[in-house]
Amino acid sequence: MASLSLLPFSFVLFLLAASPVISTNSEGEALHALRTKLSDPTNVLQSWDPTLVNPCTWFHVTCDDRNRVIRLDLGNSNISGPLGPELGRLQHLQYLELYRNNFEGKIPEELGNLKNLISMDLYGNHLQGQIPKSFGKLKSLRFLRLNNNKLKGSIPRELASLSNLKVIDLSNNDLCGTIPIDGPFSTFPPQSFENNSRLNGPELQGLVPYDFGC
Amino acid sequence: MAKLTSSTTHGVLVLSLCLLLLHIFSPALSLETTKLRGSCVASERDALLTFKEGINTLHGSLLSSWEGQDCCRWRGVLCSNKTGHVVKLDLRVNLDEFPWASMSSNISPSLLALEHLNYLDLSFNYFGGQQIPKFMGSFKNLKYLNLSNANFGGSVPPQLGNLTMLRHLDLAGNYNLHLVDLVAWLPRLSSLKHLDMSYVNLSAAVDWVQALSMLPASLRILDLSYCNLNATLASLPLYSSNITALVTLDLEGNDFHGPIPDWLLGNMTSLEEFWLRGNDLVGMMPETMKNLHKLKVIDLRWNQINGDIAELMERLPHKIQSLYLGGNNLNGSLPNWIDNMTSLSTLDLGYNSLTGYIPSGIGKLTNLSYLELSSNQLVGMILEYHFTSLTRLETLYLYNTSLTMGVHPNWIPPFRLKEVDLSYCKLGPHFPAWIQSQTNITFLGMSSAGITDKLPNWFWNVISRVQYLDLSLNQISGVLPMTLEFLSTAESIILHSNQFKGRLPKLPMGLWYLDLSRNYISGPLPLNLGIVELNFLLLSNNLISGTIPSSLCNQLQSLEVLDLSNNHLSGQLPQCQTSGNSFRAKSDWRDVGCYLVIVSFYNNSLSAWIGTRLPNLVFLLLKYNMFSGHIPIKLSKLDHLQVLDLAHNNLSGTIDLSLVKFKAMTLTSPYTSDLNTIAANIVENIDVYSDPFSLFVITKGQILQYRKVNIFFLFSLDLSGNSLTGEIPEQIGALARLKNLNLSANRLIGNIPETINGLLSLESLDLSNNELFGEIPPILSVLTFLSHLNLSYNNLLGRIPSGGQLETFLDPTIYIGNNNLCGPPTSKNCSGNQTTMSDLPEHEDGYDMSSFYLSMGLGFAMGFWMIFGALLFKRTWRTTYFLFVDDICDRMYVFMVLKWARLNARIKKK
Repeated sequence: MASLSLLPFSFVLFLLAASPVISTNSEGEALHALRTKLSDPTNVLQSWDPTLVNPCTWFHVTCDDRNRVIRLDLGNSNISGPLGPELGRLQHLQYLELYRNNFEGKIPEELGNLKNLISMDLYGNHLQGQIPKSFGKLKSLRFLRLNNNKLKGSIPRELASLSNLKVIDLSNNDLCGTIPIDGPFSTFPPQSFENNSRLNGPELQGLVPYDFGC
Repeated sequence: MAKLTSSTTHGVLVLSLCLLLLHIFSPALSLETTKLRGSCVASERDALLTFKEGINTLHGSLLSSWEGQDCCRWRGVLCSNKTGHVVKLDLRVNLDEFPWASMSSNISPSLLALEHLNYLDLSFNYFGGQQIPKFMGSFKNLKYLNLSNANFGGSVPPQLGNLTMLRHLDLAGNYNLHLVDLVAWLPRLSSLKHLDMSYVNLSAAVDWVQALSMLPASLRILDLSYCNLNATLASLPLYSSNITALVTLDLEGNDFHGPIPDWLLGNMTSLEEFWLRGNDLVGMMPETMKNLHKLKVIDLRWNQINGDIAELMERLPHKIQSLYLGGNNLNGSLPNWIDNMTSLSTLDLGYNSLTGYIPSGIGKLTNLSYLELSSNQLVGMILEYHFTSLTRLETLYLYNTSLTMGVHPNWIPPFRLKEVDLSYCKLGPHFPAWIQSQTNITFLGMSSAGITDKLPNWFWNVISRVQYLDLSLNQISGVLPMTLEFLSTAESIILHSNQFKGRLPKLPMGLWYLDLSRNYISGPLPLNLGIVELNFLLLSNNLISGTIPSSLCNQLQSLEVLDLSNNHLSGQLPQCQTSGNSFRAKSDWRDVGCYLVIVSFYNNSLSAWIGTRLPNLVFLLLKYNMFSGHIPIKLSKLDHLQVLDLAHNNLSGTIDLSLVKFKAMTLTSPYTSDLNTIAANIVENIDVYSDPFSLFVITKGQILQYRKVNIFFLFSLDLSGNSLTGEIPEQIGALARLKNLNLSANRLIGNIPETINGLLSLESLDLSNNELFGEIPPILSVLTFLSHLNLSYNNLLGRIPSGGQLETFLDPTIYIGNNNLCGPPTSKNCSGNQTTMSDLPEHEDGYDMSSFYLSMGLGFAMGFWMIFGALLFKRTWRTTYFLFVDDICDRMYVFMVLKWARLNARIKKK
């Protein structure tokens, strides 16, 4: 009887023993690679121990029940340095919250690979360069806030195909050209685009090229 | 690590005791150096006595034997048996004999009277950072000078360069030496054979390259390990200098970088030992290495050497005996012709990226005693022929490879191993029978090796000399013996995640770490465990029943981590006496009472509280027990407590104000992200045996297994699943380091306190299943790290605030069961006169905007109700008001009708 009642327990044990203890931890490696290039004066990343089997107990990282990273919450953390292309390897990421830090350099094209991303908050950093055209692949995206950076260039027309996009904020940058009017852009208020001195109002399709004045 | 040092200290103590006894009982032995014929020269005796006067012998030293006329019979003094002159002065301090030996005063120049001195050893004395005396350069006949580890400081006097007869100079371990000008003295030591400057900081000696290039051709041994040298290896002046007859070159632990250049060792044909461990060297070993016919030892561990291992080995001279290449980036497979390297006794290729099979040729290396191939991607079988001639093998490390041990069950190995680690190899399903012949084993690692067998009866006898035993993560069955005391040298026993049965055995005295978690250990805890030094006792997930005997307190006085979770224990926790602790070998931070840092009893049936002071407690995990009544206020006096888990008990009463003042959970400085001192100390211990210890904590709605150092970054308060009443105290906002707060499934009432914004580190907040009411404070949006929120099943109302992290919680179920909550992410729209807030996304000034709208809404409501309320309750005002309105309407009606009539008339006229 006793041995019978132990059966499920031993089955669990068997699973424990059989589960791969040393697995390839590509998401942890990606995050660790990101970390190595960052300056973190307040030690918010100190728990990011690459020798752990997965990053799910790293603080500011959240996994789903299959140990895949779905959130990165590092707003207001005094972090500086570049946004590594490694972030693009977090295939299951839904929330990328890196607002109000000192991230600098370009937004990597690879972020366009985050097909499950729902929210990208990069506002309040020192990001430069253009908004990647690859963002047109972020089909799940609902919130995109890139305001208060130093972004240049035009608003990629690819963003107009993001049918789930509910909120966009590109204000306080150095964008140029015109604002798309298709798709979700028909509903965005003008405040989402203000303080871009070279942004010339809504797109006049067929009359003026969209990147007019860039 | 701590354990290691403590055991070596023991050894050293015993050794020194023996030495002392020897000295007492056999004076002849201690006078060995002075029993030669010849009486002392008076002037030299006076010189020695003057020297003695200058030395502080407060704590006793060998100088105390310097009495009587014949100085040649004094300890450490050797006279020439022809001339009677003092030729050797060996004043090296044996730290075991005189641990406090002190020589802080000046060294008297009277020693210069010893004109015939050719040997002077002052090592391990303590000269308090003073300069090496200038007169040292005046011993014309000195051949041997040892000033190592004697705490000399400042610069080396250039006069030292006058010692042209000097063959051996040892300045090692004088950390305070400040060497800037080496050329001024070093190259003039024209007879030098042995130069040791290890652990001397040479980072300020800009001329070190030039000085090396000028060293005499007589040099045989050069030790520059741990000298803070930062240069490319190519800048070493080996090729251009005279020192081509070097036999030993030690450059370990510096910052040498770049590749090993082809030409570097070109004419160093006498080189036998080359030590380069712990630098930053890259690339492949040069082909010219093959020309170093006498090379026996090369140590390149923990560099960045890369390339194919076979190619590298081809470039080695055949006579190589010790090849250390662990911790580099080598790839490829071991070559078949490895059997040509017949001199190999040590082969360390661990922690590289080697692939493929282990060639059979390795079994022909008759001299091999140390084989380390751990953490490579090796595949295939290990068979008998891999070991055919390895009769001398003592150390075998194949940890974390993908190798399968395929030897015959009756195989009797030719070797007697001392240390073997085959963890994460495939050894099973049967328990490897060949272990039976390995009676010298001190280190046995066979974790996660796929063994699903009964532990053989012979096992415990065979490993009677073991210090470290790890059989975890297999399915080994069997009954544990009643006692393991016969494993008298055991320090760590790790058997977790197997199928061992029986009771907890009596344990060896010196045991430091015991992990029997996840087995079928049953019965009560024994009254007498017989252990004193145990630091970790991990017995979770077994079938242990009964109460926890209070005798445990006295026996487990060194215990730091106690994990008895998931057993069947009942009754109360032991009442430990704090006064009886006489054993306090380690200390400082452990002031009073038990040393316990982590206590985990979750999922038992315990019912009464810890009755003792546990001042060092960092983790207290009592989830799923039967504790009832109020939460004891004394818990808040645990200054280091950073995780308190009392979930799922029968606790009642309110959450006392003093309870939310856990000191360790509050923020003491702007960035207190560091570990608390006690935790840091534990972490040091855990890192040694890195993997086995872990803690399960429920946070973010998940069960997370915290390991290693991350355990100690967790700050958590979980009181869920009890019957707590009253409001959440406002003071909870002080717990700024808290990462997890779970108060769900209680009967808490009142508002969510506005002070919640003080929980700056919070990642997970669960207040669900209570009776909280009022609005959700919008200030919740300032918690930038919040990644999990659950407010479901309360009586909260109003619009769900937005902004910050709150916008990233799109799952409406976290608000479900609050009938009067509205706005996104719920599908319920907020009707007009409810508190309104902008639907606009959060801006940089988002919080100000929302408070603006909030006050606008409040203002409107206020104004509206001032008028409307008055009309509602005051009849005369109401009458007057409606009469006034009627009057206005009448006038308006008349005015409109008249206007309309006139307008019509005009149009018709036209």
